[in-house]
Amino acid sequence: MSRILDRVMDGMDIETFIICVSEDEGRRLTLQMFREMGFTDADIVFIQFQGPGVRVRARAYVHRPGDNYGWLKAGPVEGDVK
Amino acid sequence: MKPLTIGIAGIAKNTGKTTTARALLEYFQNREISLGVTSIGYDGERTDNITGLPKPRVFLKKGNLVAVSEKCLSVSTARVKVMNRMDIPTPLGSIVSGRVVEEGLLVLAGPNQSRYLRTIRDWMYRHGAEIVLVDGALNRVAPMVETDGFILCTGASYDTDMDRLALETRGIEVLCNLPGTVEIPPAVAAGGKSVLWDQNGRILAELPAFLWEPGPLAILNGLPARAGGFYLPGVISSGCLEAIRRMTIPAGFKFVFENPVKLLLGGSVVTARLFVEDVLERGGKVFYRRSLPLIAVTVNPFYPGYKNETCRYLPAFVDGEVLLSKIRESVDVPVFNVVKQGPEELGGLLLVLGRQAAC
Amino acid sequence: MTPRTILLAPIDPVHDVGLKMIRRGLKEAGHNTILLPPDLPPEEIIQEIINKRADTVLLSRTLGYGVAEILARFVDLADALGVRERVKLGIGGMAIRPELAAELGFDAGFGPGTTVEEALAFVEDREYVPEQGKRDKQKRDLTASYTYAYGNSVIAELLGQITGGILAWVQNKTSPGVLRARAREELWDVRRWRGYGKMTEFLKEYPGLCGEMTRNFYLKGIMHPKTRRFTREEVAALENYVSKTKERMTVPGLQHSLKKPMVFNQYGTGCPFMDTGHIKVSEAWGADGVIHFDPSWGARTEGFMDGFLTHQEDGTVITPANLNRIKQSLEPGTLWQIRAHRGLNTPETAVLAGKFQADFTKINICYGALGAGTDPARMTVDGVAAIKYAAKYGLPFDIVTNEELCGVPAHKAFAGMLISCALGLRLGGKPVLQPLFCYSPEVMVEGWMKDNYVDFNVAKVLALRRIIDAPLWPGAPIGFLTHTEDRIQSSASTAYHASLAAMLGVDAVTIASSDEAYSGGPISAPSKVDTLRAVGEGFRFFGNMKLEPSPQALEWSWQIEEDIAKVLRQVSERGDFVGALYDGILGSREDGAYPGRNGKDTVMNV
Repeated sequence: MSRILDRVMDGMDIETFIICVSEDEGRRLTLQMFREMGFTDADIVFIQFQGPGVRVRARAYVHRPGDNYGWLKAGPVEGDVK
Repeated sequence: MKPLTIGIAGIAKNTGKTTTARALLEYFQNREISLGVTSIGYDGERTDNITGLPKPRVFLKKGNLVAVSEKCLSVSTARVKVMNRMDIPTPLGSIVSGRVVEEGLLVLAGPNQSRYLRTIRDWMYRHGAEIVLVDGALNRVAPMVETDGFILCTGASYDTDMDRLALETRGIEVLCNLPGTVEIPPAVAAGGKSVLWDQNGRILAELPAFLWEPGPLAILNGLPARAGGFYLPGVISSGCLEAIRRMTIPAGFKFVFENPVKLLLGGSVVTARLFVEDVLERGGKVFYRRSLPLIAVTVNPFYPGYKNETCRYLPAFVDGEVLLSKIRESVDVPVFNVVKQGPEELGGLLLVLGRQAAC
Repeated sequence: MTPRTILLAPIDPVHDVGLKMIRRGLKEAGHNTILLPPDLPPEEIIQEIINKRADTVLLSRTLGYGVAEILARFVDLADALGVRERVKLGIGGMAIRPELAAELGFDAGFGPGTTVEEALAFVEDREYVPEQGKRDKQKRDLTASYTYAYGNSVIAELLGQITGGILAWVQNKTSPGVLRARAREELWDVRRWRGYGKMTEFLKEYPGLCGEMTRNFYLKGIMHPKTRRFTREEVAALENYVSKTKERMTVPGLQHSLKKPMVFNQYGTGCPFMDTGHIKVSEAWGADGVIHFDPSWGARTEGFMDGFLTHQEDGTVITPANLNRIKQSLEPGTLWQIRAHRGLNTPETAVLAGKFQADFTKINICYGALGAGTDPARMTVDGVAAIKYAAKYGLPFDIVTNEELCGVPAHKAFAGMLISCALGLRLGGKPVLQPLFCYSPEVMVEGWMKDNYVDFNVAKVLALRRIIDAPLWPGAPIGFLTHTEDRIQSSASTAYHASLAAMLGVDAVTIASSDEAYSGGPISAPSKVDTLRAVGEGFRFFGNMKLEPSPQALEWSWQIEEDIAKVLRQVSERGDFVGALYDGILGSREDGAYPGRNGKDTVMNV
């Protein structure tokens, strides 16, 4: 079985709002969140801090250009229609 | 023991300044030596400002003195009783000085000018500091002139070619430790300009303090035998030093620079070193009005390796043993890897220095 | 102020636009500026500082590996040459933060988004105070500049006849809603309530005027099944959250160079905690006002519960405690609207809005009766009472025309809106007209928005402007039924509608969040931010540009005006407003309007 992640063409964005006291903290928490989710290649696409926290768009790349793309060799994943 | 101010300067970013500072702080604190701690930059981030890699903070015990920007206190776990608000501005608020009343981690950010370092050092001495440690920033050396000597942190982050790194490190050592100090005629030093004087202390010519282009140096060409020396209070560029090397110089002619920093900042350390060695070899002399001894070197095999695939910096290392031996071979001062060796030898060296100064 | 000499040096291979903008600002403030060519070595910049006797140096540089060392060497050189002591050094660019400036040895660091004013303050040794209005928004009465004079005398006269009839009809009538409002008004003191004082008199009378659910709450302590009280710990945590967030709040405006429209955002997740979080986000991202949305069952329920209650479905329950908490969480300049408009609690909501010092309420008799399920007779009696309370508390109220969404044509909805408006004026109130900016069933069926979403919305505004000089507040929200679940499309659509509203010079708009069209759960904070940012971008894009109405828009506007007059004439001729509502003159069953049944037969003669 392939991982569903193999089918992600390039990256995966998380759009959210995190309560924090500064942009720095927001960045740190966002990247930490990705690490906790098992993504190592994560970055912040957009972040804006105002009093209540950060509006953030964060990205984890699953496939960078030049990688071996999982979706080219992906086998069936659980739940696929046979 | 006479109080001593020790600087920790880096040849570049990520060469282990804070690691060295932490090791020394631990060493001195274990021996209950009264410390004063400040920084000429900012070194409290959990991650590096540029590469995003993790960085250490410093741990301070109760009783030690600190001088840091106001904003550092709120993000430190060490509790500091503020004794003095100094009128020294920084991007992170004014500098406050005080004593640690509850041990913990401290974010270090201090003054950004040499003259302020003087004020802080004096305040720390007045309040009983036996050793004042000045944590450096990046590759900055200028404020080190206010110290009694400095430790140079060198490492792969400046250059992963260990031979070039050794050459550069040796260059800094030569510039700091080879020339001695000398007094110059009062009239020569008074104007704040570069001055050519004769053997009787009379001024022959004046040039700007900052010599960037070799043009004005033409007057040094074909110097009369009565020419005594050339004093330069500012910075001189590598190009100017090259130009001087091409000139003939009367025997015993003195080049007097304000301090080693003025040569270190000229552009190329290697060129400046060649200048010094060349002048000495040709019977001339090189002096400083004020010395800045290089006390020791620490090495750090770490460098931020840039990974193209991910566009990220990842920790990378050169061979630590090879690095240590290459640097040891090239310089005369002691060389340490404090991560491997611990702080005993380096700390001991500084204590000896302090006792010698007292004598 | 003595002019300073500022050297601006881009250390990048190209000139930095930010640096040039700052230069313009510094020049305008009377300082001497010298912009150096890009990418000079540190030594040459130092040489220039010495030669030009600069007081301040502003460098700009994009940060990358190795750049920090160049900048640090620059500072070192300045220090070693004695220049550092008399020159202030600032560094700006992407990724520059104060910590980094400190590390590099600079006096200040300016990141992206630095304003010219910030740089100017640095140059002039002043403490930088964010622009007026950023920290401190002033509330403005959007009705202030209007005369409410009629421009269409025929319509004015018809409205006079109709409202006269309504006021005469309601004179000897009352309802449980009106009686509760009176109890709330006369027996319930907000100050005593805040001080946990006893409300014996009120509690003796009020439960008897309520429906079963609310009565059970007061007499047997039974909660509505979808609600619960907050725990003491939760309340303390909320108080802590609000006070901490308030310390960090700045309240930017979205309008750029515009004076209006003000931008309103709705909240009403069901939970006052989540609402508070959402309100702070709305405020921090530029909303000028927020609107309280209560659950749909609130309109069908006689009476309000009390206590700090959360609700598991859409809409936040109106209770004095909920309103009080929400009021306390608002920034001082944030406008606050509590909707009264449509149900069995309309007059009492107006009283609570007044007592909790809201800035607006919302009342529309026709919409309440035809689109929101309230019995027309009851809605008329309660609506008039609500308008009186709004007038008493000086609360402007908007008259929303959401019956358009049921399928009622704009001109009929507008006729109803003008009746409520005229009632408001007769009773001393400050009505605000709220035409929908939407893709309504009427225009879908008629194909009037085949080409664009502009003309018909413009026609509505033009028609209303000719009829009466009154404030306009398109809503609610603008762009209704143009939104999809996609946040880009949805935010863009809202921004276009807001920009259209701005170009028409209206006074306010209510905007949706970018997940307005999603029905699987409450709206989210990021979705609010998206739409607010999009609207700000729209205002920035068009600035003070005005819109020239197309011939089609003009033609439609005349048609709407004419049709409104026709509808009003029919209502007037019917001689009985409530009867006209039943008969479908202001929106028929064929259109999609159904006279409501909630509160049927509850109107009492006095």
